[in-house]
Amino acid sequence: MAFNLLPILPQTQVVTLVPEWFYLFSGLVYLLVFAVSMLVSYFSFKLYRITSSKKQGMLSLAFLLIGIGFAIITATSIFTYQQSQSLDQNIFNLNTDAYNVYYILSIVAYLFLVMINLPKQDERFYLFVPVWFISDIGFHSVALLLLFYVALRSVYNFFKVKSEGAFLVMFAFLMIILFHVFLLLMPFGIELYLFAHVFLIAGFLSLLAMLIRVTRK
Amino acid sequence: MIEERIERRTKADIFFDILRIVQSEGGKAKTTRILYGANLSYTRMKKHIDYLIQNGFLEKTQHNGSTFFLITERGLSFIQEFRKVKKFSEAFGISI
Repeated sequence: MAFNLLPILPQTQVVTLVPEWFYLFSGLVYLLVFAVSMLVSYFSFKLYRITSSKKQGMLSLAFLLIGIGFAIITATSIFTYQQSQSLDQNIFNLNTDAYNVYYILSIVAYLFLVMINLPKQDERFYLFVPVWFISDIGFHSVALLLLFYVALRSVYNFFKVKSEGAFLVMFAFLMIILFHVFLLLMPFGIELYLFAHVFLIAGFLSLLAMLIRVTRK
Repeated sequence: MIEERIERRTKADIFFDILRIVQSEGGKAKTTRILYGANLSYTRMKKHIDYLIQNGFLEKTQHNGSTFFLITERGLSFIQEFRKVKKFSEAFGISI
């Protein structure tokens, strides 16, 4: 079975060629991530209205930004797949722009997640995000740095409360870390791209399971 | 280093505690029961109960010269929603 090979994540210094169906596969994965992110965002916004807790508001905003970012790359991934026969450079430029927006939104969202998890006395928190994150390697490195702290807090939280919900959130963040790690390592083998997306699915399904458990009567 | 702090109860926590006490008494409780159960001073309890009455979570009634507070449908729904809030916040390690 033959596949057309297309460049993936064109910001990378080393251009990796992937079968065109990767675009459809990742588009569908991102659609799932978008849906779950929006559900988490909506639910935490509902809770923000009950409690007026700033942290709930920030959590809602963080998942909203993650959701919007993934919505954008869902659209461009599926569009690229549909138009892949044309091999028009503009399609790949559009894809690059979409990824840049997704990178920025994701980093801001991860910053919100870090801020939610900061001890109260450190709430005056400033982080200068270097502009070099607008590249694959830069983005995944900054994302890993931020998510490592968030995941560490979620591990600590799980051992403190030992609830199923806390386990699912901890598992989700660890899976999202693996997603970034595998994408960072993608130049070493395109199969890592697939593994990365499997981790992303596992992470967001875990968040969905947590949400179902919490909202169940 | 990850430090743990003793969290103060938020207003929402106190509302939840008051409503849960009234619910556990069969939906109708006296002032003294709420006072001891919610671990509040009389002044603070009165302030919170007034707010809950004004917003339709509790109703005030008199019976044989004693004052009782009745939980409303809105109050019961708040308890249910707040339990979800607690579970969700706990899962993310967020203090509310």
